[in-house]
Amino acid sequence: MKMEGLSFDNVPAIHIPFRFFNTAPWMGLFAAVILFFSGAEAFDSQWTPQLLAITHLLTLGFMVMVMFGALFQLLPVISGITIPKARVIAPLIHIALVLGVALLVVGFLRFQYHLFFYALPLLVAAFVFFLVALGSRLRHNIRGGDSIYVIRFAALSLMVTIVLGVVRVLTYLGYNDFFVIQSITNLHLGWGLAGWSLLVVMGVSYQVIPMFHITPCYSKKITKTVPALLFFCLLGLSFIQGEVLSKMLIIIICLVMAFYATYSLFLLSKRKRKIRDLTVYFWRLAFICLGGGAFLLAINQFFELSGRFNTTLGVLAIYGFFISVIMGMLLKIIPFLTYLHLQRQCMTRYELLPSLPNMREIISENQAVWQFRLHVISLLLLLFCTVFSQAASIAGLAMLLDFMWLGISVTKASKLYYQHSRRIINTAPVVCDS
Amino acid sequence: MSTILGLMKQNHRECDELFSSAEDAASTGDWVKAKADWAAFTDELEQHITVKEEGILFPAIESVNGPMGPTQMMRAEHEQMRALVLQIDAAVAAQDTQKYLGLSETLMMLMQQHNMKEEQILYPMIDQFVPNGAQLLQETV
Repeated sequence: MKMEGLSFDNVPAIHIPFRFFNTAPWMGLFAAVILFFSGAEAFDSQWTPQLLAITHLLTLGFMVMVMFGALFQLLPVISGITIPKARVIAPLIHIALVLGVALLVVGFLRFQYHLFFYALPLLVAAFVFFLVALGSRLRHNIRGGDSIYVIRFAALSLMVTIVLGVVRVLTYLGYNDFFVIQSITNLHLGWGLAGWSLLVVMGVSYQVIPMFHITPCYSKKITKTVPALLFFCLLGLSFIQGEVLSKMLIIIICLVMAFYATYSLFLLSKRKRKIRDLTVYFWRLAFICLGGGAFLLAINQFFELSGRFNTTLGVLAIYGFFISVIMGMLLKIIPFLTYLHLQRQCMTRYELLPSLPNMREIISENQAVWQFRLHVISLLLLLFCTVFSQAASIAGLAMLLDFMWLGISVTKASKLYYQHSRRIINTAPVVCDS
Repeated sequence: MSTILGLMKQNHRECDELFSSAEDAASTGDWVKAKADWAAFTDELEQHITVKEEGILFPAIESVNGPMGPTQMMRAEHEQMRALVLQIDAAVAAQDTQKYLGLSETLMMLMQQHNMKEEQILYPMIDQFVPNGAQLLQETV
């Protein structure tokens, strides 16, 4: 084993993950505002400008934002190797992502597609910087077990998603002579959601579900087979033209997703840590939505369901699965990072440790319970809207409360961190800042 | 053949189970059971970090490689865990459920990220550099 470059003291500075976590909920809130004001019109088809704006605020603005922050945090801890220049790169990626998403969203809403011309380089820069920083480490034979194995597939899927996204944007900018738009969009969606996003969630779940909830470990065979199957089915779909073969591959993807969801629910049912934990509630909700989504998608391969079906599927996947997982994880990660960084400031002053807020004093259980309630209500209303779009404004309002509640929790935690950090600096004679 | 990774990983899981059992009892207000289970957990934890790691394994690898950053870092994290254990001792004595659960959640996360670093990096390293480590551990404990 290589020893050089290996350090256990490699928890990234708190501002790196927190700048992403503090931005994400407000991106979700903007999506909710758009839904609130556009009402039923948003659900006319899956291609309405409002729905495209909402989808990209949720996927890029919320999901990718948190995933970037979390990966900057997680990789050094699980692999023992720091992402190079994270202190410089992370803020640049963050700004590029925020501006890129903002321009993209305004472009969709106002039909000002020329804005994509500016959004494109910003978003591509954010992703390329991230992938280069990540890739420079993933190429090496580093530790980190199953999670790193999955994250490699995820990183490759992200590359494909970006390329397809760029091609799609070029068609908006008028370079549409060479591309078959519909299939590119579907592949972009497939690689982005079933590839990059699902694989990142898988990689994280293999590690954190057994660890935080004391469940049996995911079987080695499954952790290796499931991501590879997903990846290669997506690869097949990208090249195969025949309808029957494509449908078969989609059905295999659905079976893989349903299996992963059911197996994870089974592991959670075996958990030895029995106390009430809202993160478990979020995981369960997420896996139910993933299983439901996979079922619907499979059914659609046999019977052509109505046009609204794609929107229902999108809500189940994005709001029901991904955002649920992310919210559940944030409820744990944010209080923990706050505590961890404060604790490290007390390394030379152990007597100050008892004065630090514990995790439930940073985000209370009550806050977490309300987060879950608001999320379930918004999810149900959004699903309802995909059938009866008249309720769109009410769903928008519920969504707004959901993200606002999360935003307030993250902001409060950050404020608490800086309050205590200042207190420690003012009382400790020697400070080891992390 | 036993490895350090195998033996110590198994011991982590045993600690987790004792920890969960105590936490479960505290959450339902069964303080008699909580107190007993918590004591069983802290005994096992001390055995793990003080006797096995700081007493046997860390000195063994340091005798081969010289003083190392990772073992120093692990010792510092042990101190942080001990500080939280003391706080939970007080919550058990005061039978304060809210305090207990807030602190136990914090200790849980701290232990798990610590265990992950040991299992992914440190134990395999000790297995590599101290070939008779597992035997040493089994003989001494």
